[in-house]
Amino acid sequence: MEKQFKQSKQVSPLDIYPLLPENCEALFGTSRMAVATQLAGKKLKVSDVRKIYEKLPPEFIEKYEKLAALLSPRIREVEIGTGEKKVTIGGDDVMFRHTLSFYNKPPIAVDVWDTMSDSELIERLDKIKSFKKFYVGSFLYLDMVAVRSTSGSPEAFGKTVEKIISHSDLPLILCTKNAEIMRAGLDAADGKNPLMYACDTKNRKEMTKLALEYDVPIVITAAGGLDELKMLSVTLQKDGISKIVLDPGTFSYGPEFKKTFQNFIKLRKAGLDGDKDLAYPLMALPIAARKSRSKPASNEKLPLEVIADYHETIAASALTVRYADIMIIHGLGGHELLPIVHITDTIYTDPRTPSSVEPKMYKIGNPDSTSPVLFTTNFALTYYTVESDLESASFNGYVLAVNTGGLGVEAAVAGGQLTADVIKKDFEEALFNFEEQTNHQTLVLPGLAARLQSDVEKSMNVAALVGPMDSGRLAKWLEENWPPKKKE
Amino acid sequence: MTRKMKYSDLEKLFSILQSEGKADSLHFSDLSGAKGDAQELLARISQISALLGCQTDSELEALLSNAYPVSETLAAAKFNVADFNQFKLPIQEVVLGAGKSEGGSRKKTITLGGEKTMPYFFDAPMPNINRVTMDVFDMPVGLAKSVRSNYEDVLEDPAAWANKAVNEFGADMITIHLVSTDPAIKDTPAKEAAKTVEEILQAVNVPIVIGGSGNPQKDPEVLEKAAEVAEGERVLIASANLNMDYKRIGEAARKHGHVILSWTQMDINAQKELNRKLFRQCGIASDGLIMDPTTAALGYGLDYAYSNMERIRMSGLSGDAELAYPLSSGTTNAWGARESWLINSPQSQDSDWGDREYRGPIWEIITGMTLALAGNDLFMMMHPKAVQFLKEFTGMLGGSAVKTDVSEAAENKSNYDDWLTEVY
Repeated sequence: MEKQFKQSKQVSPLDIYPLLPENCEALFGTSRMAVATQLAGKKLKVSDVRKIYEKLPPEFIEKYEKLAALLSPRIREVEIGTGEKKVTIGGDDVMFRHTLSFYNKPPIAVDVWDTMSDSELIERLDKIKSFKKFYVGSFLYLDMVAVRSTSGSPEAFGKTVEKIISHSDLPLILCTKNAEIMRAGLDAADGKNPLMYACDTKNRKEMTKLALEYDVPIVITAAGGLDELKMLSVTLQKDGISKIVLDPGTFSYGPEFKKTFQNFIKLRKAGLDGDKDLAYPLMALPIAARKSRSKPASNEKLPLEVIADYHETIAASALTVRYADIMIIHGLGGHELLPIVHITDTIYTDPRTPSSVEPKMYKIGNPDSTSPVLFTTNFALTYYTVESDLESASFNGYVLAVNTGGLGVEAAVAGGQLTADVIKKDFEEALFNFEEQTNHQTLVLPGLAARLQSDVEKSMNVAALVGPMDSGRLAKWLEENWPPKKKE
Repeated sequence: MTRKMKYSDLEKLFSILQSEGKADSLHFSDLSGAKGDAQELLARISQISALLGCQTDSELEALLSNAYPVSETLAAAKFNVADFNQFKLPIQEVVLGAGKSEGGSRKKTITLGGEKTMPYFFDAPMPNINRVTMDVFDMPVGLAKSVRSNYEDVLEDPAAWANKAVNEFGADMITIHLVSTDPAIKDTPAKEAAKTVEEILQAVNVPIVIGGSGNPQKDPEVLEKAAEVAEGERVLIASANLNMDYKRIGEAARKHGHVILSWTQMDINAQKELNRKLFRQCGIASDGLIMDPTTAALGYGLDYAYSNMERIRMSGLSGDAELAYPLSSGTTNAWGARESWLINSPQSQDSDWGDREYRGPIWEIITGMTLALAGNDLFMMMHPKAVQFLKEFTGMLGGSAVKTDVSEAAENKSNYDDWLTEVY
């Protein structure tokens, strides 16, 4: 049934096989077919095998080129910035993430402008640079800085760009429709491979020249519609530009929001269906959503600024799901940044990644017989959250990941996958004996499994304490409740 | 960095190149209005000077400006895109609520489903807009502070709570959760819980959802009794699950003219199996079933919930009749995410999380919005602000009439570039 959605290019390992060297075992440490399968599933990137091909006899150069062409994504990749913080955008092959995966998580650019005072600029840059949000063993970040020319002066723009570069190594987007101002920005950001925003029908010639002269990627913008966008793309390509990003316009309120949303879908579908002029990354501008600040409804209690943040966040999220490859935002509140960094991560996580950890007993720190014994489920997100909370609280103890088939605590309790019997069985399978291994015979339940308390006490013959609803509060909870008081 | 590349430098460079026989076919005078090799050479010089960090003087600049010839006019081109021709089977329409003529007492009924393509796609209109049913509990329960503050005055009175949700917060429907029936909570008898259902039906005239406590042993009895007292009202019975006596619940829903919520846990195959069992074993009619494939909050498995739902909807549209039913989401689960309610991050290295008063509702909005894009029709929600924004934005995408100032929207369009130059 789902086969027909793989209309977008899905390369078969059999197409790749003949292009691989025969002695894959020696070169890759795995069989030729396994290498072909990994390349087809994009588990192995074609650029990863380049070095190996370079060492092979000359006829393999041609084979590598064929391989690269075969495996190149339908939506072209565009690089912005240089060095460690460089971002790559585009690179997708499918309309729906479950049929493969989406690639190259959309970088989030936050704006600054050239009429900011030095201290304002530095403060804002610091916020952008230092933002981080812990998530499953690592952090989510902001990725880029977009500089807007609010002064209208080339000199001011160039100076601001210089200041940004001396203070941050995040890739830049230079935002102005004026070629003279753009040139000042490009001069200041020379060698930094910034993204130019933007070329439209009015400034096309000047912007094209600049993109060629400085050899940098450029955004084409056409609020006038998709025909206009395509005309611009055809023209720029004809003039020798290949590093293109498309902006069909982000209108994020009212009927125009629907049109925007559908434009993104149309463009991505056209690109995947084979229209090479439109097979480029798409840019969304949630920042333009702030313009739509509607009058608050009669029962409105939110400040206008927060409404603008909400509109920006909703536009960013909806367009992340439907094909935006890069975004510019303005708001820096936690209520905006947290959802945005999470939604890009959510949609671009490889859906083939297993959702569960091995159900077993995990030791955190150096537990002994006085240490607390906890359990959670083997849903990867749940387990890693609990683990990292405990580790950051310098906890010593035991955590059993109960096999719920990868469901979280709340869902598993509700669905019957997490019961006293299941918990008992998994403790037994982990060869954990409360009598022998603890001096307290006490088990701490997740707050969300509180309703299992009496069942657990009965079937496991231990004291069951109900822990907090969120593992972020475990450290404090243990301070107050551990060691457990002896029962009278 | 400050040295300029001068026209005279170029002249020198050119003579060196010529003396080495590398620019034989060129004359320096060719360079103004450069073409072919000369143009290439100029481009190289410009790159070299840029690499060396040299700026160029005005005379050279004038030369260089001709180095990149661009098309005089825009190329002609027309945008074209094909429809999604793989979608053949419309989603079943399901009506919730029944008015007088159908044996009920609802003033409003709600139709869900009917889609012919993925949500808000361009190749077919959205026939029925998304709807929100707001949660009401039959006893005070633990709620996040920013949710609770909206219901402080009605926590003890489910009928007043329901009324407030409909009249003040714009709920399309009400879900009454009979949580007190759980033996581990209050063990309220099914008969008594049924009275609460009657009170809710009296208090509001919108369609309702009746939820149990989630206790698989007790729910069949509780929902059976509730279905009986709500006969004729065409409520949504929430829910039947594979881990319980779904047959008893399904049969009660059919017998009393209700719609059954078929709830599975992020497993498309289990969803097919349960739907099939409800149709075949309980005799549920094809317009009497809605699916809840489980909602996980943003940051807590929404990626799985999203793709599971998208697969279910696409399978249905592509012709799998066992999955072509409207979808429902327990969007309230967003409040299980710590980001929605904790004051600060428990992770010391995290940046400031900001005000939780604003963080909570947007967590519920984005969780719901994402699932709306996967195909969800009915949202079970809690926070009035979240409800307002979700309805507003899904309404815009669905193309229905929305409360928006049209002239303002039109003005936005003409001033699209304003964001470039505006000082916020």
